[in-house]
Amino acid sequence: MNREIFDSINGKLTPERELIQQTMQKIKNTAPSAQRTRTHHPALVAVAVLVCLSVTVSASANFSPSVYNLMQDVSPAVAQFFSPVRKSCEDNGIRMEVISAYIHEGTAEVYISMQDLTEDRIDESIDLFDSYDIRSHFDIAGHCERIGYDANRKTATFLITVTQHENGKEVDLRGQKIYFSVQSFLSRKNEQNNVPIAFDLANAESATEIRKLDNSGMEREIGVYYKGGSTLNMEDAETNVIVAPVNVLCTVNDTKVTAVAYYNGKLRVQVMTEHRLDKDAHEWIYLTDEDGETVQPYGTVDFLTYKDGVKIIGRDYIFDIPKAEIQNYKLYGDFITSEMLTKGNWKVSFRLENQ
Amino acid sequence: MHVLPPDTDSYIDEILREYSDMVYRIALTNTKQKFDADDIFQEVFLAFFQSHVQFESEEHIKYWLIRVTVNFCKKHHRSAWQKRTVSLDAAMQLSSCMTEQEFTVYDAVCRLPVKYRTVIQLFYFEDMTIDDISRVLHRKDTTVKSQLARARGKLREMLKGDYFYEP
Repeated sequence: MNREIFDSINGKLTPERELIQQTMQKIKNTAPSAQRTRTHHPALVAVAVLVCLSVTVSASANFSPSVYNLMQDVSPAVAQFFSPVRKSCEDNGIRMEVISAYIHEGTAEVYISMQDLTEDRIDESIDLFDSYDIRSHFDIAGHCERIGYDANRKTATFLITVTQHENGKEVDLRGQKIYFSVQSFLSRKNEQNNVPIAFDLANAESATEIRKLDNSGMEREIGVYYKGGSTLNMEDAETNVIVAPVNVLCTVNDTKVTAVAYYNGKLRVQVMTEHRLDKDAHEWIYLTDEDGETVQPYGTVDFLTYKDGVKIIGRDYIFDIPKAEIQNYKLYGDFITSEMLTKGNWKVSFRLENQ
Repeated sequence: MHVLPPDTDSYIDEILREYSDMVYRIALTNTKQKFDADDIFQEVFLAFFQSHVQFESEEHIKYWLIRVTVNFCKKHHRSAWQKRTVSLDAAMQLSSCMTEQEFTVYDAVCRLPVKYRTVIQLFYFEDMTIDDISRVLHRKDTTVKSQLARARGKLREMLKGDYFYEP
């Protein structure tokens, strides 16, 4: 009967037709055009090659070689269609420039660069995290990703993708004005992965003290994040409680491991960081079993607390491993933080037009 | 870059027709979120058509797609904790189109820890042998066997023998 059930479930787990079509379109847009060999009349091919060459040359002539190479790397099929924009602003010794834009159907792609003119605050780990804003007079959705870094010019390049929707359908963006602003960015990222945490899990005892989370006072819950397998089994009683911090068992970057203890039959590993918000300091704690396989947490409980007026963000990682078996596991973590936060006020507005 | 055959559009159609259900099933059951599964679905096929791998057989393509889908899901698990949202599990999202029996079993599979979920999925949903699973996941066959046994045990426990009586 198992096979029959799985077979019948299989028939229900299918992608929507729209998703397949979108994927197909994306693949066709990004597949290298040179490899899409089709049978064409030789004369038409020659004309097409000439047209393409002239467009490519004129487009590439409008950009610096490094920017054009970057555009070729990121979007080889469409690099020649980008039109130069070249609008910029400067603050705190850093210049932000809108280099170029390309609109196709309801999507606009925009290259933006940030260059440090005075210091070394921009490096290849630059991260705009949540501090950028993309706006228009209309309802748009956009995202921004870093796609290149030029160490000689201390310049990072970002690709912004913007789409406008109306009643679930993409709307033509041509002629519309876009406002892009950045208030701060992080750099000098320090990432340490697979760091062994020096705590013998065989020594994990039952928590002698717990803290109840509530929504007021000095210690309050800011969120409960369900991850891992048996999330449906997590009860409020389990998610409204953290184990009491004992002492600092290990410190990596800005994160301190402050407790490892059993509560309610499950292992809790507690971490705290003072710089989650301003340095994007974060971590991910996991176990490895005897075979070296990674065991992800069953759930996490996040909390906010204060120490000497400083905001501290904490998290209890919960692992569903019985105490009798825990000696077979080891504790590991990935720790990430950015050493530098640079603030400023960079704003550029530009109109989306294909030339 | 992946060497595409002369009739590229037909090749893309053929690959998507053949493997889209499998990739989506793995992504959905692994991430348990429709929107995440949609993203991973697109990323996997884009990666496939941009890869440098010289595919030697249909089996090679299938296993490559499974491996990459599982890897994208792992990447998702590592980053998803930062998302400040909680949404319904895939089983809940699909409950309206499933029978009670199907829902109960799929919900139980979704509640398994991810490493067990992947093994159960490849064994039962994708009908793969233990040797094939160990090859595609780069895990020892003894590890796969033990994970499969533990996963079955957990399923039996959750389903209380109602729909799952595999030894």
